[in-house]
Amino acid sequence: VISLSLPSAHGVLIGREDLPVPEWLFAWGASAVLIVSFVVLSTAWRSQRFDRDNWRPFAPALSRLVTSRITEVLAGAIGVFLLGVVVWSGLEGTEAANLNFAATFVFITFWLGTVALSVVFGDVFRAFNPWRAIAKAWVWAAALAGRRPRAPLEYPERLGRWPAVAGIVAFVWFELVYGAGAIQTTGITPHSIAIASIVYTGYALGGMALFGIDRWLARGEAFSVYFEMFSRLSVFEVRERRLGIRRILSATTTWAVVPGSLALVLATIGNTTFDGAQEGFLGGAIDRFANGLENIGLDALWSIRVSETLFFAVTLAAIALLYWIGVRGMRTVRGSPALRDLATAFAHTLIPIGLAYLVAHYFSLVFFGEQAQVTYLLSDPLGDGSDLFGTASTGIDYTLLSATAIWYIQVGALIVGHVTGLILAHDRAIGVYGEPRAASISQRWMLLVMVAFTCLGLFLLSQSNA
Amino acid sequence: MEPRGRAIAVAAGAAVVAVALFLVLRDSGGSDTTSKPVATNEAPAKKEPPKEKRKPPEAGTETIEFKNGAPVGGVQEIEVSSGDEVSLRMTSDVPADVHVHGYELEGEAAPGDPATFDFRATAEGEFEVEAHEVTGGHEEEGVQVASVTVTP
Repeated sequence: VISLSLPSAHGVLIGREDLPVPEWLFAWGASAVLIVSFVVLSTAWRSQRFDRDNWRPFAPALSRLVTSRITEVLAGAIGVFLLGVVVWSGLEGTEAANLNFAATFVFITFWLGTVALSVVFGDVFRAFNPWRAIAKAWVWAAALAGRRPRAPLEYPERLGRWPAVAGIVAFVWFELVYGAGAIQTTGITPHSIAIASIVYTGYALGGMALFGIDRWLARGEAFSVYFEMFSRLSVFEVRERRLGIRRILSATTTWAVVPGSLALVLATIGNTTFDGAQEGFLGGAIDRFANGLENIGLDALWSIRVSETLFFAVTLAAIALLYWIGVRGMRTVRGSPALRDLATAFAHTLIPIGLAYLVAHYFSLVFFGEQAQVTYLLSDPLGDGSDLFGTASTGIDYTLLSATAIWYIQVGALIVGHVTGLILAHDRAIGVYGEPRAASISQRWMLLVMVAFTCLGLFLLSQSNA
Repeated sequence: MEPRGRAIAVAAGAAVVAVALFLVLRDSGGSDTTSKPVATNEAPAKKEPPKEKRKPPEAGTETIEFKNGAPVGGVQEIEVSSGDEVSLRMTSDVPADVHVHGYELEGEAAPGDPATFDFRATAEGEFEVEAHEVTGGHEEEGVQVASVTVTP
């Protein structure tokens, strides 16, 4: 009988897993969460602070540098080039995922690295988005030929960001569930990454052709919508081709009014939770259920995939339930709006939590994975022994970060995310309830939700690979 | 204004006390991971290895048996502290290449001729040890035979 316990997709890419956070740090992290929570509650401010963004443009010269047509074309070309390299190395390169450019680029540099860039610099993915660049180039070429392509369909606004939610969940399913047997010839192979990239390119371009470029980028193109959500945490924003700076966090407050936004941020938290849980406390249950499926005749790989799919769905539902309980509780406060409006009103307060989860779980992966990306994977993208830039034999230096440093960064990220979420929730409560007393009572419920999410995050860190 | 000012003062005080407690109690709380100071001032006590409980058999060598394409007794979990000297040995019933990830060590095992690794655990984390059977001159798909966990 073979064991179904397989190393995680990420461990395979860099050959290293984080150590679980030790008990003493877990306890201190949890205490710190409670203490900072009361600090935030006791410093209750009485008027909203983040609803006005105070956006101010930078000097025109700086704006031109960032938003000029040349920059746009250049950034778009880089995006298209990188997409091409992913497809090429996926199709032509080695099937050993850790030695092929495609896997590390898609799952670490693109999926996680772009989140970091978005939080710091704003919506940079818009500039580098290869699908947007292709569509823009198409429109430009059509204009040269004297035609103006028009979107044949009106995007149904009711759908909101739901297509993007489906896209993000599908991406993570592909990474964690389809890739469950992520070792060598089963599960995710560079070849399947290339195929998925081609299929997704069809989806992105098709949507833009049907509904218009900007509409689809804002609603259906999953990565644009996902990275744009994180860019709301940034202070930089381009408006009408002018680069400017806005009040920190202010852009989050208007984010969730579009349908599907709450689902997107909950899915973000759920994705990371599932990845942590499947390596930790859910691992045994997933294995047992998969074994049961195998006993009734399913093949080994699909047993684990079906089992993981089920637990992934349960995890997403559990995260949604946790938030729902908090909102339900808040609803009992006098003067509350309808349940659905209340749920939407506080959705943006979860963006910092979603970011904190990502940092806590993937910080070390990005730190070590990027060393591989810019050394041997750059010089030898196909893993066939070539050495384009002379860095093919340089490896990852695993001694650059001690396990202790990683622990502090993980726990620190959760605490900072927790405080930021609480601040946003308190600010929103003042707007929703008007009257400070009701606002602060309602925040006991949000505090409960935030503490639950943060302690779940800590718990997952203390469990991973246990 | 005044009650609010007091609340902030109390909260700030609580935070300071918590940080101070943390700094004082951190090491005693982490009694099972106190190897860190040992690792930094190991220079004087070079002759006698201080960790007697971890290494009972075979003079501290961890042995993995690779048989019928799998490690005997499942994936071997090897735990060492940062800075330790590690000795790994893998016996095999077929010709196989062995790879310690992270430390990027490679060795060859054959029936009656185990692969051996001696290295110092400098990088912390959990690292995979993988074996590839060699048939007809080329490597088969890798099988995880052990994990080396290096704790601070």
